[in-house]
Amino acid sequence: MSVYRLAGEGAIQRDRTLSFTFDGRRHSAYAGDTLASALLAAGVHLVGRSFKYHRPRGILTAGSEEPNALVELRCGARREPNTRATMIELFEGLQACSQNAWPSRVFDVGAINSLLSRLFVAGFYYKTFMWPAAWWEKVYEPAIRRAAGLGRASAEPDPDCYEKAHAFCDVLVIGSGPAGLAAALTAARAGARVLVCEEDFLPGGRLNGERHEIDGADAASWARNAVAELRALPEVRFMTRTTVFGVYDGATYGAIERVSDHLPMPPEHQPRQRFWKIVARRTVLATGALERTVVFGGNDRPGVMLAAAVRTYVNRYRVTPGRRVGLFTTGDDGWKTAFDLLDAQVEVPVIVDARAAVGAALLEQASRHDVQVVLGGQILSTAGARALRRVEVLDRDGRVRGVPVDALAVAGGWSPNLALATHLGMRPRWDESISAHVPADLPPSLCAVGAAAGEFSLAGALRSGAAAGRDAARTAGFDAPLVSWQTDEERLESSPLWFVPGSRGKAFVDYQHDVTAEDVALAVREGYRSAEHLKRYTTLGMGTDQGKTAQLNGHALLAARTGREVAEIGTIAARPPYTPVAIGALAARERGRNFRPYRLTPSHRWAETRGAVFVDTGQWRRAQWFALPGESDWRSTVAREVRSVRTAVGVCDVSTLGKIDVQGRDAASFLERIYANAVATLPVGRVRYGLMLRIDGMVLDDGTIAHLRDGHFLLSSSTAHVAQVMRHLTYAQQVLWPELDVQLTNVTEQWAQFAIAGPLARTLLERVCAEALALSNADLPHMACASLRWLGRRARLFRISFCGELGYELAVPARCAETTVRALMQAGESLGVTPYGTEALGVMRIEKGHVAGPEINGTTTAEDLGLGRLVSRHKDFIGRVLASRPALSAPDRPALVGLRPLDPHARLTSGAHLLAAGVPLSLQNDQGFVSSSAFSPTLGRWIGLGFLSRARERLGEQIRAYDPLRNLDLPVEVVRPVFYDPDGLRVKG
Amino acid sequence: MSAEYTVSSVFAATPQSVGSGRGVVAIERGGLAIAHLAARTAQVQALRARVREHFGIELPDAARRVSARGVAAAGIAPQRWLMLAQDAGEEFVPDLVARLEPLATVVELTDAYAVLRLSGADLRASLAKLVPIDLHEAQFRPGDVAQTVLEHMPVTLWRLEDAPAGQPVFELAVAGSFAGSLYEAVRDSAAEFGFRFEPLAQR
Repeated sequence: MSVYRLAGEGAIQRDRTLSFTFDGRRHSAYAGDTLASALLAAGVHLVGRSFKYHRPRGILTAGSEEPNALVELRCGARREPNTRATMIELFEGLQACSQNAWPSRVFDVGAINSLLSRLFVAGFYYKTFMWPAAWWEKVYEPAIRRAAGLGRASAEPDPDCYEKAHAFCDVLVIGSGPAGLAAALTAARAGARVLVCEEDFLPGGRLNGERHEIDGADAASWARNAVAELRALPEVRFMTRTTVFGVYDGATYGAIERVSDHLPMPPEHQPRQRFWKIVARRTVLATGALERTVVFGGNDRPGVMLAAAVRTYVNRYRVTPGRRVGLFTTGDDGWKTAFDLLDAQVEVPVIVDARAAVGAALLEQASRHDVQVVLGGQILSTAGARALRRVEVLDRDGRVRGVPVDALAVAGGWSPNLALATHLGMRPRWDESISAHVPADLPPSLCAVGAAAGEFSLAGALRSGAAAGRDAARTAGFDAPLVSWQTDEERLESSPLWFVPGSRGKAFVDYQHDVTAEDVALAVREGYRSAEHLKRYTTLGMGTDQGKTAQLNGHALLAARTGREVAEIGTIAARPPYTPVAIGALAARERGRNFRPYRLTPSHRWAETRGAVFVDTGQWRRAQWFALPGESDWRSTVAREVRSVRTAVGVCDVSTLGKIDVQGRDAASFLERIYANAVATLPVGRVRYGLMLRIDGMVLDDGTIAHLRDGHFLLSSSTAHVAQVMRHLTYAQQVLWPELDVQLTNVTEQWAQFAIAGPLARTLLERVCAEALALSNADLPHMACASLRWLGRRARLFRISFCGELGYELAVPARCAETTVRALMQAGESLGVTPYGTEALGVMRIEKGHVAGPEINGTTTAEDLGLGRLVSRHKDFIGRVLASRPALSAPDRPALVGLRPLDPHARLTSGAHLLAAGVPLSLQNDQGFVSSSAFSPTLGRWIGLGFLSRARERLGEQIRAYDPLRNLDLPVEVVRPVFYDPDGLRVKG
Repeated sequence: MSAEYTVSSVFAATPQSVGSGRGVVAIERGGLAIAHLAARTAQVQALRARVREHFGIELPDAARRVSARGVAAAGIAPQRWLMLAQDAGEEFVPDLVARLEPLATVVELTDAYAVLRLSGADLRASLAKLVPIDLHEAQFRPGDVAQTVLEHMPVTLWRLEDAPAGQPVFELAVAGSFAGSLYEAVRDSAAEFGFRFEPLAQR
C-alpha cells in the first residue's frame, strides 16, 4: 500500500481494486475513488500545467469547483478534454492524460512562458497584438492558441448517445449534504413529490468528508440511512451524478445526469448522459459552500490544497496529500483538518493561523500533539521544484522561518455556493458576519438553506433544511411535522485574510487562468474599478471553473487597491451552466438522421419500390425522380419524366400540398375577406385559383379554392406554407371575425392526392373510374371538381393542372394511397404511364411560368408576380390597404419576367444578377435576379423566371445574367414568363 | 375498381422487439374511425343534446375523453372534439355528418391519424423522455387528454383506464406522415426498458 493511503474504512471499497493509467503509467486504486484521490494515493501530485505560464499544478479541491486538475479523459473518439480529476469516478481501465504540457507534464517546454511572465500580464493580448491588424487571425491567434489553451477535443464523431427527459416535482432539492437531506426527508415524509439531485456519486456532501455525529451515529452512516429512507418512498426520486446546471424562468431547471460516465462505455440502450428539464413548484438550494484560498506567494505549487479538500481525502478516501502537512488557516474550521490528519497519524508540523488569538480549546487540542502553532502568522512563499518542499512562515514578530512540508492545507474561509442563486438575475447580499455574499432576493419558488445560505454549522444546516422542507411541502398541500436531529455544536469563528501583502513570488488569485494579485493591481492602475470589468480585463473568474475558488479574493484585492470595502464591490452574476455541459447532451437524440422528424407521403413505400430518389423538402421526404435501370444521369431521368407527361401521361404524389376544409354558414363571406380575388362567384362544383395576401400586402400564398357543396370549401396551399396559412386563417376566424360561423379543419393528412397529367390522362382515368364518374369535357370541364366512390370510400376528383397539360388530381383517403397508385400504374401501363417526381414538376411549372416558393418569397406583391389582374377592386380583403402603398407600384420595382439565354446551350442559374447589357458590373447597376431556372427538355434549352426592373417595357431586350458564385456571365433575352402553350389550350383538351 | 384496398402499418411493417420486450408495449390501433367535430356558432347546446341522444356521451368541456358503447369524444379545444369509433365501419363518419349537421361541422380524419396504444411497467419513464408534460398518476388521470409536442411532432395523447395489473395505458395520436419518426422515437425511448411493437393486423 502506498504511503499516502491511510488505514481505516472511509467510503472506498478495499476489496475492489481498479487499475488505471495516467500519462501512460499504470496505477491502482479502489472502487469509490475519484481520479484525484487515486492519483494522490499513487503519489502523483503534479497533474498538469497551467493555462498561461505552464506552471506545475496539482489538485486544489475535492469537488466540481476544481480549477487545476484538468485532464484529458479516455482516448480516441471518446477523448474528453478539461475533465476535472476531482469529478471522475474511477473505473477499471480508465485512461487519463495531463494536458497543456509538452513533451511531458514533468518537463514542459512551455514553462519558459513563466520566465516571460512580465510580458504575459493582464491585458497582454489587447496591447501587444494590436497591429498589424491582419496578423491577428493568421499569426497571433493560432500561435497563442497553441501555447495557451486547455485540452484537445476528439475530432471524431461522438460514438455515444444522449437523452433528454422531463421531471416534475413538488420539491426539488439541489444537493444532498446535511441541509439537503433534512429538507428532502421532511418534505418526503409529508408525502410531497420530492426530487433530489446530487452531483457526486456518493450522497451526503460533507457528511462523508468530515467527522460528525448525528443522533449518536456517525454522520456518514446517518446520511446513508437517510438516502435509503428517501429511496424507499414512492414519491421520491433520488438522482446521484446529476448536476443542476441552470435555473430558468417558470421554475424550470436544467440538469445533467451522468448516466454512464463512471463506466468504461455506456451499456447497451443506455445514454452517456441524460439532460433533464425539471419543473418544480418549490426548490431548496442546498448547494453548500465553497472554500476559498488565500492569495500568497507560490500558493499554486502542487501540494497546496484547500483544507476541507484535505480532510475529505483523509476521511472519505483515506488518502493524505502528504506525510508532513502544514495548515494555513483564517478560522476555526481549518483546524478540523489538522486534527483529522493528526488522528490519522499524519504529521502536522505547523499550524499557521492568521488571527492573533484563537479559542483555548483549539490550542489545548493542538498541544496534545507535537504541533507548532503560529498565531497571527502568514505564509509568504513556498518552495519546491515540481512539488511542495517548504513554506516560509512569517510570525507576528516579523521573523521568517522555513518549515519543511510536502503538503499545505489552506483554509481561507467559506463562501456560499451562489451560482444557481444568481441565474435569474438576483444580486447576492454581503454578510459581514461571515465575510461572504449570501443569496438574496430569491423568487418565492426558491430558497437557500445550510451553508448555501451562509449557515455553516451542521446543526444549522439540519435545522434550516428541515424548515425549508416543511415550507415547501406545505406549499404543495402536504403538512409536515418538523423533525430535529441532535448533533455536536461547533465553534466556527473566522476572520478573513484575502491576501498576504508581503508575498514573495507569484501569488495566484485565479489558478485556472493564471491571474495573480499583480494582475489585479495592474487592472486597477489602468482604471478598472468594477468587478465585471476586472473579470473581462484579467480573465479572473472565466474558464471551466468560472473562478469558483477565486472570485471573492479577487474582489477583495480590488477593494483594497481602490480603497473600498468588499461589500461595495458587489459580485458578478453567474450565468448557466454551473459546470461545463456537453453540447451532445443538449442536442440529445436530435442529431444525424434524428435531427428533425421526417414526414413520408402516403405512397412512399410504393415509390421506394419504383426506384425513387427522395429529397427533403422541409420535413417531407418526397420522390425527386424515379430512375429507371440504366439511367445514370438524373437530368436524363427528369427529361424522360417531363416528356412522358407532355406526350402521354404521368402520375405524381402531390399529397404534401396543404388542404384546408372550410365550412359554415359564413364560409363564403369569410373566404371573400381572405382572398384577394373573388370567391363568392365560385359555383358549387368548380375550382378557382386563389391568391392570399398578408396584412402588409405581400403575397402569402397561392392555391386553389374548390367549392364542394353549399357552404363547404376546400382550399389548397403550397407545401411549405400550410402551417402559415392555417395560422393566418385561424387568426382571421378567432380574432378578426369571431362573429362569422366558420369552422376550419386541416385535412392535409386525411387525403392522398395524385396528379394525373398528360394528353392521355382522361384515357387513364376512364379505365379506373368511368363507372363512378363521367369525365368528358362537358361533364367535368377544366377547373371543375366532383366526388366519387373509390375503393368503397369517398374520393374527390379535381380537374386542375400545374404542369399545363390536361390534368386531374385524384384525392383518396390516405390509407387507400398505395392501392390507388398501383391501380393507376396498372391501368396506364399500355399508355406508357410514368411516375414523376418534384424535379419534373418543377421543370414543367417553370415552362408554364407558374410562380412557386422562389417567387412567393414574402417580398413580392401580386403585381410583382404578374397576378395584379386577379386582385379584386370591388371588395375588401386582408392586405388590400397596404398593397396600395405607392412604392409597391413604382415602375422600377422588379417584376416577373421570363429569361432565355441567347446561346441555347448556355446554363442559366438561380440567384444570378440581372443587369442591362453593356453597363459595368456594380451593385448600382443591379436590376433584378433569376428566381428559378431549369433545363427545359420540351424546348431543348435552359429557361428561367426572374424579377426585373421595369419588366413590362423590356420584352425582347437583351440583358445580362451574372452569377459570381458560379462564375457565369451570359446574355439573356427578356421574354414573357410562359414558355410553353402560352394560350393555355392543352389544359382544356 | 373493386372495394378492396390493403391497409398496412404506418409505423413499422413488421412486429418488433427490443430487449425483454416487456417495459413498454406499443400496439398500433386499427379499425378506428375518427372525425373532427366543431360546433357551429350558437349551436353547442343543441349539439350536446343530440350527441347525448345518439351516443350516450356528454361532450366534455375540458381536455377530457369520455366514451360509451365504443364511441369516444375527446375535447381538443373549446367546442371542438375528436370523435373516435372502434370498428364502426366506413359509414361511421358519413352517418355522423348526417346526424349532426347543421349543428356541427364534421370532418373525417380517419386516415389523418396514426394511433399507438402504449402500456407497460416502464411506460411513464419512457414517456418522460418524449413529452414535456407531467403524466404522474395523480396529475394526469384516466380520461385526461393533452395536445403536446413529441420531438417536434404535434401529438394528441390520452390516458385510458389502467390495465388489470394496475399499469397505465395511454394512446398517442399523430399525423400519419409522422408515423415512422414517431415510432422510432418511442422505440428508442423504451429500448432500455425492453420494447415490443405489434403492427396493425392486415385485413
